[in-house]
Order: sequence, then C-alpha cells, then structure tokens
Amino acid sequence: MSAGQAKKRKGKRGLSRAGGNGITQRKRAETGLRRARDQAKEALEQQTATAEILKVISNSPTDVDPVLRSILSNASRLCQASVGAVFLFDGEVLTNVAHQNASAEFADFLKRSRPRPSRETTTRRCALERRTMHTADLLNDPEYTPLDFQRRENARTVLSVPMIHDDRLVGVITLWRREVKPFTDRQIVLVQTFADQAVIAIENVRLFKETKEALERQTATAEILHVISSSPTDVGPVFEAIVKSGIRLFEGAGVTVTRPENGQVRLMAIAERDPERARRWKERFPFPLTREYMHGVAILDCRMVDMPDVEKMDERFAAGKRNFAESGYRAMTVVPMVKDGAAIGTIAVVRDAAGPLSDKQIALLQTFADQAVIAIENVRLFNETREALEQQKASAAVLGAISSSIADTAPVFDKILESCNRLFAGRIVGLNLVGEDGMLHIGAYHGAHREEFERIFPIPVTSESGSGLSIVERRVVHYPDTERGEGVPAKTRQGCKTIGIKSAIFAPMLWEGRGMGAIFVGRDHVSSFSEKEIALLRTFADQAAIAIENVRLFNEIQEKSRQLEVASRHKSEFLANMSHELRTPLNAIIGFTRIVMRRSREKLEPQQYENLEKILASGQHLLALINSILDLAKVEAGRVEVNPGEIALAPVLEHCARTVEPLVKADAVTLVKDFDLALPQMVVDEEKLRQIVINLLSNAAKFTARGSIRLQAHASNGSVAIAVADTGIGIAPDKLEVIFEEFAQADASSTRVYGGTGLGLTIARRLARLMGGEITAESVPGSGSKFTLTLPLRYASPGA
Amino acid sequence: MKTILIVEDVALNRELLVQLLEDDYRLVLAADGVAALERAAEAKPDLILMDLSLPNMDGWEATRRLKADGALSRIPVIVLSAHAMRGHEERARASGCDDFLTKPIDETLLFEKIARHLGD
Repeated sequence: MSAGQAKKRKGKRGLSRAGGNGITQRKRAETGLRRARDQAKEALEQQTATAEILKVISNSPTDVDPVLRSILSNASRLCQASVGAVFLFDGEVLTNVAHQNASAEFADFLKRSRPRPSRETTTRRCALERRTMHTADLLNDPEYTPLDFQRRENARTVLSVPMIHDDRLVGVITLWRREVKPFTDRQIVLVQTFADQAVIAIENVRLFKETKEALERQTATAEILHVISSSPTDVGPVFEAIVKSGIRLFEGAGVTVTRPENGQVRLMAIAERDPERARRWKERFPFPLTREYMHGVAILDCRMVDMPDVEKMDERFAAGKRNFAESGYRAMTVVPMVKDGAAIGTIAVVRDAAGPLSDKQIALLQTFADQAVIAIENVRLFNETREALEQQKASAAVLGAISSSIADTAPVFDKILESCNRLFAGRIVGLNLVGEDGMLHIGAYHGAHREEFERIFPIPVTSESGSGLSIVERRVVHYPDTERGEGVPAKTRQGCKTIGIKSAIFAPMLWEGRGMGAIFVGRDHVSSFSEKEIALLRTFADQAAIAIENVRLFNEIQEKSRQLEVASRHKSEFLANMSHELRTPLNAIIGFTRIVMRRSREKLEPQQYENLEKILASGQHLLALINSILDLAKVEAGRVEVNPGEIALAPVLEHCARTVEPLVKADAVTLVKDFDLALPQMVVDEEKLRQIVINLLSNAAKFTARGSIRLQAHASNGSVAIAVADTGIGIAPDKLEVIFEEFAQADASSTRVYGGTGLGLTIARRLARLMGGEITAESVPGSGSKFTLTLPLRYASPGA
Repeated sequence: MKTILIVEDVALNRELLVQLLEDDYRLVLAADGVAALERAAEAKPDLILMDLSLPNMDGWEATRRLKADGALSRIPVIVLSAHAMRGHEERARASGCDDFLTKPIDETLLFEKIARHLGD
C-alpha cells in the first residue's frame, strides 16, 4: 500500500467520524483535523525521505554505503525505531554494513557475528524465508533466546525486511523498538520501499563496478593488442605491456612473464610497484625447469597453478617455496601460455595478501597468456617469413646466375658465396672442386687468410678433411666447435686453427651420386648451424652442382653441334660430289645413246632401236632420281629458301596442267581444269608451287588408266586449297601416310609398274610445309585418290 | 668453218662433244685449265665450251683468266657442268662465262646456245 493510498483512507475515516454535537463534535473535528494533518505530514516526510534516498543513490553510483546509511537513518526516524541495522548477504552469511543508534556493545556484536540464515532471530528468519518478519514482542518469541547483552538492550518489537533482487536475497533491513509497539502497515510498506531502493543502489554499484572492470580489462587487452600489432618483430614490448597492465588490474601484486629456455625458466618481463622487491624477485631467475617450481608444473604439465597461500604450500614445491619465502609474497598464480597443446611460457601474478584470484581475474590472466602466444607466434611467423624470403631471394639470385651463365660457373659460385656470407654470417665461405686429378682444389673462396688457405690445397678426397668427408659420405658435415669438438678430422682442425675458424660446416655437391666438390662456411666463434641453415647450404650445394653440370652440358652440346655442322657440311659436299660424279658418266650414256639413235635409226633392227630407247629411258630415270635426291638433301639441309612473289594463281595452274598433259593417257583420261579463273592473287614461291602441283598431277596421270583427273582450287579464310582428284587405282587407308615417306609407294612393286623415284611426294610435302602449308591425301581404293595442297594466301616467313 | 675449243677432262665426254660437233665446226681440244689457256691463245677459237672440274686449273679460274685477257676476253664461254647444286651457276657466271649448261647435256639445247653465241 502506498503512502498516498493510506492518506486517502485515513481522510475518509476522519470525515465519517465527524458529526455529533457541540464541543465534542468540535473536539472530534479538531482531533480529526490534527490527525489528518499528522498523516499528511507523515506522508510528506516519507515522500521526502524516498526522494532524498533516490538523490543519494544517483549521487553515489560507485559506493553503496552512503545509500544504506541514508536509508537506515530515514527508516529509523520515520518508523520511530530505537535501533536500526542493514545486513548484506553474500550467499552464505549476513554481514552488517550499517547501523543506527546501536550501543557500542551491540555494534561490536553486529560487526563480529556473521550469521547464516536460521530461525534464531527475526533478521535471520527474514533471510531464511526471504519475506518481511514482524515480531511484536521478542519476549513472546518462542524461537528467540537472547544473549545477556541483548537482554540489556531490551529490544521488544522487531521488524526485518528482506532486500530481494531477481529472487535472490541481497540483504536485510532490521529495525528494533525498546517497547512493545508493533510497526504500522504504512511503516512496514515504507521500509519495504527503502529495501527496494537499497537493492537498486546495490545493483547500480555492482553494474558500475562490473562495467568499469570490464572497461579496464578491455582497455588493457586492447593496449596489448595494439602493442602486438605495432611490434611484429619483437615480443619484448608485448611482454612489457602485459605485465604493466597486469599490475594495474591486480591489486597488491607483481606480474611476470617467463619462458622456458634450455631447461631453465627465464624471466622475460616483470612489473612490481616496489623496485627493491622487483630486484629481489628478478634474482630468483633463471631457475631449473622442474616440477619443484610452480612455473615448472605450469609449463611441463601445461596447466594453471594457483597457490592462494604460501604458508599452505605443498612440500612438492620445496624449491619454489624457498624462492617464495625470500620474496615476501603470500600468494601466486601461474598461467601457462599454450601453443598447440604445449606451454611456451607463463604469466604469473604474485600477491601480498593470501587468497585466490576470482574467476574473472583468472580469465583475464588467460587472455593475457593468449595474447602473449599471439605475439610470440606473430614474431616467429614474421621472422620465419623474412628468413624464408631472404633464403628464397638468395636461391633465386643463384638460379638467375645459373640460367644467365650457362657457359661459365664463376658468376654462379660468386653469387652462392655472396649469399652464404650474408645468410650464414660466415667469416669464410668457399667452394672446393674435385679436379681431373681426383684431388680437391679451391674453386672459389671469400674471406681472409686466402694465402694460408691456398697453401693447404690440393688435398685428396678422403675423410681426413671436412670437404672430403662430406663428399665420401655424401652428407653435410657439421662441426660446431672445430677446436674442441669430437670427430673433427685433423686436417680440418689444423686448417681452421690456421685461419682462425671455430665452427664449420661442409655440404657435398653431388650429381647423380658423383661428388663434384663441397661448399663450406666457417665462423670465428663456436656455434651450431640450425636445421634451416643446413638445408639452405644443401640447396646451394645442389645449385652449384647444377651450375657445373650445366656448363659441362653446354660445352658438350656446343662440341656436338660443331661436329654436326662438320658432318652436315661433309654430307652436302658428298651429295654435290656424288651428283657430279654420277652426272658425268650419265652425260656419256645419254649423249652417245642419242647419237646412235639419231644416226643409225635406219641401219638398226627395230628391236635394237627399242633397246636403245630403253637405255635412254633408264638413263633419264637415273638422272631424275639423282635430281630428286639432291632436292631432298637440299630441303633437309635447310638450304632451300622460299622466294615469295605475288602471282595470279589461275595462270600458274593452267601452266602446270599443260606441262602434265603429255603424260595423261589422252584417249581414256580427261584432265579437267575445275577452277575459277578469278582466283585471288597470292604471295608464294611460284617455282615451288609449280613443282608441287606438277608432282601431284603427274602422280595422278601415272596411276589413272581411265576416267578423269580434276585440278581444283578455291580460296577461303586466307588460305588456298588446291586439289588433284583422280579416278585411279586409289590407296589403301593404312598407306595414306606411308606414301609421303622416302622411297615409298603404296605398293612396293608399283615402282616397277608405274615408275617414279619414290621421292616426289616426300619432296612435295616438305616444300609445302616449308611454305607454311600441308599436303593431305584421301582415297577410296579402286575408285580414286584426292591430294589436297593447302597454302596460306600470303606467305609469311617464320621469322616475321 | 668456225672454231670451237672444247675443254673437258673426261675423255668419253670429250669424245661425245666431238661426235656431236665435228661435222659443223673445227674443234680444238684441251683436258685441263692450263692447256685450255694455251689452246685458246694459239687457236683464237670463236667459242669455248668449258667444263668446271678440271685438273691443274679449274674451269672457273680458266674462265676468269680468259676474260681478263684483253685478246681473248671477247670469245664467248659456255660452261658445261655436272655440278647441279645451287651456287655453281652463280659462281660460274661470276667468273665471267657467257652461258651455262647442266650435264647430261641436252643436245638440242647445246646446238641452240652455240648457234646463238656464234651469231649464226
């Protein structure tokens, strides 16, 4: 019931009681008026109190105490309570946070006792039942057994109102009276209103704190993220940012970042407000990576280790405890930085006060750990990428040198040694080669002490030297300490000492299992070469081998092509000579036969005359054969040049047809010129075009006994198709390609029947191809063949 | 009757040319380049048929010398060669010959060329 409603009701009652006679009536009326005035005043006071509390709430968003004090003083005053108290409930116990008019003794009791909800007192009962409890007289409360001082307090009437938020008990407001005088309904309602306001205030402060904390955490993580993104090459700044944010967010604490390294835990960053303590804490590091330390467990077992109180520290952490005791801290939490299921470091918070971290703080620590992992990964990736890029650049430079110096290994070796020098931080780099004498010689060398070094060579390819051993055993040989390391060959140990080298690596240059030499890098300090460096050196060795092999192949090819050139010249000379030598007797054979035939025709028997004709025909065939072989040789030797010129196609075809006409069996075969006289102009080697067309036509004439030979031509899409179709004996499908080969006719016996050198089509097709064209054949055995020559309408030289 | 100098080292081919031409011309013979130059100087022929592959001095050189000799340079030289590779004819013409025939000799073509160079 609200204060307004109460006032209204009272007012009505007052009016109904007005009436009666004279003074009594007036007195009644006066009493009624006073009461009404009192009620109005009370309502006003209540409203004023509520407003005042609201004002306090809005003025103290970060602190709940002023609100509770204000509530309590207003409640006590307006409800005429002797004593008042506010308790907050944390889920387990009630804690007194404010009291009003309590005696010193009572106040002390309130402060010390942290009771759980129960039935023992009105306050505890209220907390238990989570509803308003009103005890009219404590002396009549059968469940209440007062303590001595409580008796002295003489509390009689008690009102406890719960503060509830989302069905959850937040606290209790309790008012006591030292007389038996129950609180009115309106007073109860008022206290309930105050309880609601208290809840709002508490909730406000909680929300405010949560928001503020979240903001702080977000700010911290954002700062760290910013540092991560702005230092991709160095984890140091990120670790610094993490520990600095850490001490801001964890009170009374020091924050550290550590990483495991060579079996030890190393301190990477520390933040501690007290520099002296920071110094002492730093001195604890590094310590062994064992499970005797909390860091060790966090890293080795990859889990969080929380130690809320060093005094209760497990004896397992004997070593850690000693560290801890000397540092003066009370509690520590170590969170591992986890990458792929393994810890690559820790973030730890050490604290002055005992007690565990809250879930939120742990979550925050974990966020920091994740960020540290990201930073470490970033830097690793960055370095790897940069390293890989540098290696790729180096090896690309070497490949570039290889491809641009196929005749000489020197530029390649130089590039390799230059890259080695840069990427390996080598004081000396060199390349030894196995010479023709089977000994190792210096191929290339960069570095000091060249003269001393040269004096050592040549050396045999044996396991007595690093280079030799790497070649003999076909593996990279690596000496991190040439002076004191084990298994260093005496020669290498001595050589390294002479030129001031403390660590060395040798990679063999192998080609098809054969050792060609070795690349080596030497440093003036003791150091191990990393897996990546070894792999890179191996790559360089391979590249050097490729370079050597390239040069060898190049020289071999040059020698071969020189030999080929000589052979080709010999072949051409031979053909020219052969042709000359064969033509000379043929000159006599053909010449004398002609003379005899001309001068003795009448004297000779017809049979003898025919014999002479056969001698002449054979001579002429032999001549044709010689000419063809010469032609083919010329085409093959690339000695035939295309001499293009602009011609009209139709007249050329006409001329070819006329040339072949005498060969056609005129009585049984018709030669048909089946082409348009308006054929386009073309750019072609006219002599070769004629040679091809005449060859195709004379073949047709040779193999066609009756029917027709059609010479066709048409131009389209920039090319010309010239076809010779006959009704001759035809060609079997499996012979259509064979006929273009040297000395092949479709039927091996046909040469004897039809004559011909067996070279015509071969030459024709080569000439066609030489001019960017082609000859194809199609045929139906028994019904005829069709040969089609296609040529570009305008010849373009291959170079153009 | 006009005089033709036949320069040819192969006896059979020399004989063939003799049989083809003896009825119509006075013939002088030489079997190598050096002899060719001597015969030409002695006989002052009206035309020379010159083979290219010759001992002692080849046909190109002999032709070049003939053409360089003021007294003989006007005599037409027809080269008869069994060399059919591209380049030979050009070389022969470069040495100064007036005409070129490939062996085996086409007699019709030979008669024609001789008649033309003799102005008959």
